[in-house]
Amino acid sequence: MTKGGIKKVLVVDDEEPMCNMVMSFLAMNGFWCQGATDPIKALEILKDDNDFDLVISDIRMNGMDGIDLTRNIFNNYPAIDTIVMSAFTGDYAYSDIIEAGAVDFIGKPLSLSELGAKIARVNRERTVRAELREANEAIQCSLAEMEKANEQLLHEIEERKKAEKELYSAHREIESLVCSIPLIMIEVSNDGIIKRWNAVAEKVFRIDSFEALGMEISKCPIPWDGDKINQSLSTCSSECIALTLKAVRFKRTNGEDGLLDLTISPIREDFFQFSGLIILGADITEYVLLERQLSQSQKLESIGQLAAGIAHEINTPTQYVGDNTRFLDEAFGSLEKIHLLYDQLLDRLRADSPTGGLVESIEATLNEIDLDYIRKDIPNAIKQSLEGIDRISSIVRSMKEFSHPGTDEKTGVDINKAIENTITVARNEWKYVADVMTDFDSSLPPVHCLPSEFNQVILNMIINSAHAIAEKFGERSGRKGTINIGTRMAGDFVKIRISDNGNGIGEDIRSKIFDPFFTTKDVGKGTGQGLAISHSVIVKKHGGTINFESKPGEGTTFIITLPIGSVRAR
Amino acid sequence: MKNRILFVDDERKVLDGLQRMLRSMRSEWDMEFAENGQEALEILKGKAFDMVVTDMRMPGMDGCQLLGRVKELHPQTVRIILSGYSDKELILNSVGLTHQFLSKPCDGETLKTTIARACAMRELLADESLINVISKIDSLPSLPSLYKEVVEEVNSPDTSLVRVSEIISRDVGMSAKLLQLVNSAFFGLPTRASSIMRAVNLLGLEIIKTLILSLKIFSQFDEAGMKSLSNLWDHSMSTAMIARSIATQRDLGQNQIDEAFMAGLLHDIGKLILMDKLPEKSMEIVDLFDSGGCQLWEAEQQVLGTTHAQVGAYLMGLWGLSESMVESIAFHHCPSMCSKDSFGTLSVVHLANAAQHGENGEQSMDRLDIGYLEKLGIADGLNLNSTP
Repeated sequence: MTKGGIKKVLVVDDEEPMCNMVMSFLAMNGFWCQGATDPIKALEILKDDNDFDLVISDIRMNGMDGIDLTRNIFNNYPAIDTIVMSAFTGDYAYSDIIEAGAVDFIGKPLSLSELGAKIARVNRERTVRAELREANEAIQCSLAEMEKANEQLLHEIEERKKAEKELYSAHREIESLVCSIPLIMIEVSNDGIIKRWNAVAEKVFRIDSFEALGMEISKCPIPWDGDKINQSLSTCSSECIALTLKAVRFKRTNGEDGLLDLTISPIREDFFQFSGLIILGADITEYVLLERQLSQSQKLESIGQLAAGIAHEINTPTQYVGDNTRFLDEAFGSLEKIHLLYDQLLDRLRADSPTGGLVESIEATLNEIDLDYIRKDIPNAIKQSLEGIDRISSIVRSMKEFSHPGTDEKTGVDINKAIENTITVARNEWKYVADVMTDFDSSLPPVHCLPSEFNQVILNMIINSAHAIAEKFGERSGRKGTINIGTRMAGDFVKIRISDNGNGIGEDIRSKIFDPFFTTKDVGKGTGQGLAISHSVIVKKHGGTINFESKPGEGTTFIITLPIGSVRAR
Repeated sequence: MKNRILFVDDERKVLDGLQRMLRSMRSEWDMEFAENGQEALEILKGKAFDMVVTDMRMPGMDGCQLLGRVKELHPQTVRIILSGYSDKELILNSVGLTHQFLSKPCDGETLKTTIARACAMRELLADESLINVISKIDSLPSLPSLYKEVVEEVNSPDTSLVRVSEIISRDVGMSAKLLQLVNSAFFGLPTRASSIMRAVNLLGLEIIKTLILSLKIFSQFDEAGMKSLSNLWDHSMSTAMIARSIATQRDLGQNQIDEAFMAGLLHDIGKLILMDKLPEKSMEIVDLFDSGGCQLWEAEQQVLGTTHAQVGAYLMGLWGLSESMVESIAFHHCPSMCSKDSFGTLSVVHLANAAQHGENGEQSMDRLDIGYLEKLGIADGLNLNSTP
């Protein structure tokens, strides 16, 4: 069957025989038919079942005429065609019928063959119409698709524009990020041409970028150690590795020497390709100066901590040396007094003159000045004064050697002597709580180390031991603990053991004691830096080790090993 | 009678040195030596000593602990520290226990003078129980309003040393305590100070704060005591200002002008001590005085056998205030009893005190020691009722 063909027909005629006749004709021709003798009924049928393709209607009927029915169908069921049949052509103009929406008109008396032909025509028309509609739909469809494609295209354009903008701003961001990096940044192409020269480079080297850009780096008058840099640049590009150059000397804009830290890295384009090198650098002159001041001030701090104790250590002998000297002064006065009398006596004896009352007055003076006591005590006073002076000198000497002014390079150090000095300097820190015993290996060779930093470590150890003992016994108990310090050779190393019988280190904090700022001491009793600094001095600066063994309640032993020979600087 | 002095030091050589150096004083002093606190306490158990001079840091019992025991067991004994130790914390702990602080190395003269002066103070007071009471004093009560003011000032986030000084110099008790601390070598200060402003500046904010807030070296008077003493602060402050004017007019130089002010402020500190420590006796004295017929100091003499002037001088002497300050306090009623007869701080305080009483409508001339003023040659032309 062709598209849009007529299958189902509604026949409307108020004359039932007529209706039946048409229906039987249609049925014979293979159509599925239904009949209605009343136009209102016909509309109801359509309302229930709008699957009809064709309505064949009489024109003159009760209730509603064929024109109105046709109009109604035309308006409400656009898929249904209507053929009007009537004998009363005079009352109804053909044009009215067509205008109402009918596709054709057939006169009565009805010629069934004509009806058949007309139905066939309508059928043909419907087929054409259906095909047209289909074609139209297809066109509409592709139109919609095109529109959609167009929209997508527009969207894509929009997206691309946005991406471009983002790319641009990202580029600008990177550029401004690069510009704000406070480091010297120099990009060099593979053939050594300067491609990038940032503001920091301009400022540090006082060379403008328009001058530097495009110049061969080896010919650019950068006031740094050119040979070293050029060599590093070629190493970096030939071996494709990044290099770090520490403390490169250069001339600062004020004409003074400064130091730069530089890194030279290849710029990797892809796995095999390098597009050039990037040099990053910082002027570390101020930092190095600051660091030096800091280590100086740490040294001063520890000396400051000791100062009160050392003052006490010096003040005590100074007190008795002074007192003894005052006594000697007075005693000399007394001796002078008696001596004058003795001189007079001698004169008289020589002259054989009578001694008169001289002997009595000598005896009275002897009594007054208590010569026996003076003669007995003068040697003691002198002896103790000399001891006092020795004591003061040894403290002052130790102090001087302890602080080692002016040595920040490694030198050969007599470790035993250095420890002895430190014990002396710190005496006031331990003498109220502990005795210090030493057991030194006298065959130790000089050890290559930083003397003042080494002393600092030993000082920290002694102070910690003293605190551990004070904590165990109580500072005012009068009971003393013992600190043992020993040195031994161990292959290429010197081993130093510092043990105390203090309260030991608890299990829970053993892993933390070398951490910076970890401290068990009360606020004000220590910076908490002692062991952290000691660890860094021994391990980092000397390539040694520092370990400990401890039993809570029984004591702690710190074991330090130091390589004897010269170690690579940090 | 010889004065008995006990020296304590853990270093034998220091004791030997002291013994030798002070040998020349053996006719005046009986000296004993102990090597630690325990031994010192044993010796003190056996006989009464006038003075203990001890080191601060010693193994076992340290100087502070020893002096704490001495203060408790033998309050009449003067407590002096002789130490080379400069740890601030330990020193601060000793503030309430120590009459005077000497720092090692201490030259022979200073040591001898300090000991001799403290011994001489004993002669100001005869009564043993009074000596016990006064020797135990570690601080004197302040006017509550001033106490509150000074605590608020040191607590404030922007404490001003000038304001702190200003508040302290209006209070008798606080001023006296501060002068003790700066005039002794507690904090190793290089110079003595005769003005509160200078004292406060020498100590610095950190120590001032610790002293006031943690150690509470100042305290406040309770209400009951306040009534009978209500005009002490006014009188002391006015006397201080008059003394300053007189000293200024006389062109005595800044140090002495400052000293005159301080001596004026502290001249009646004995009244404060008596009211604080012996309130009942003080009331008795006031009653006797009010019944008429005698001067206050005569009433005091009758009840206590001494006067507020001597009591004040005794404590200030123990606290190591300068000799002229102590004399000015001791003899402010009767300067002719003092051995010195040149115009000085004592003269100024004597005049200022009389003048201040004159301002209150009393007869100032009655209070003047005419014989003394004649000896100084300033008796003529004095019109004390019109103050400078």
